[in-house]
Amino acid sequence: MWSNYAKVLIIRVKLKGSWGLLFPVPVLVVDEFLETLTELVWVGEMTLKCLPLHKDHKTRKLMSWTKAISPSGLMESFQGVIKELGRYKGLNIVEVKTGEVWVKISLK
Amino acid sequence: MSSEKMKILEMIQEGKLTAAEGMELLKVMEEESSSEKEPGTQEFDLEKKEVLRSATGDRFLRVRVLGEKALKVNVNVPLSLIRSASKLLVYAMSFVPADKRAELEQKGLDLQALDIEELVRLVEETVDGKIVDVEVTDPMEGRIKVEVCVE
Repeated sequence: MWSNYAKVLIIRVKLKGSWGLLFPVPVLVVDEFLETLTELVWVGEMTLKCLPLHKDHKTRKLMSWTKAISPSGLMESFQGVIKELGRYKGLNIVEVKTGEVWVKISLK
Repeated sequence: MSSEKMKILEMIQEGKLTAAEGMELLKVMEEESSSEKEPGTQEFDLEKKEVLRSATGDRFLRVRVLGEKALKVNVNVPLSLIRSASKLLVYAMSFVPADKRAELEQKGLDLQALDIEELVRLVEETVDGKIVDVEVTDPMEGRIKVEVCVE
């Protein structure tokens, strides 16, 4: 299938006159991973909501944030950002060049 | 020459598209305008339109910093990406401790009432062109030009 969906997010770091680093992040893999993780988090979230509050005040306080906000919603939003990012094949998102260092984040 | 074709050529010039990708898009555009649509190719046509939309229709927030010597910063963020990320910001605000939130509310800043998505939508709809255009002189770097624009 012909698709213009970006396959890899490439992070390049280069130091003048010495080593360079190329770190490819497969967008589709991250997307799939986040989707699976979101479902897993949702299951955990549902389980936690069914559990009674802990007697210990510290533990109760520690766990209270899962009831106030939705971790699966947070994951879903993050996945949305990754999905949106994938639409921009060929885009140079960030390019920073200083005297010694050159950093480039692009989509291929 | 149509504005869409011009936009593609500009994107090749700016390095946002490779020459091969640009050629592919131009070919798709020519095919679209010349050929009659067959019923079976509707799904494929939708895909092509999506590609064209992403290449020509979307707007970007661009940040450019140019120094006289070696400094160079070029950031291109699609506004639709900022819109998606704004949902993350809403979640991030939930992590602000209650006492700090109360402090901010006393100062007249209600974090709950802050509609970031609406703010992004307003920027997308109303802002066009340069937002910031500053030129400063730094003793180390020389003249530095900072540009923030929505294109």
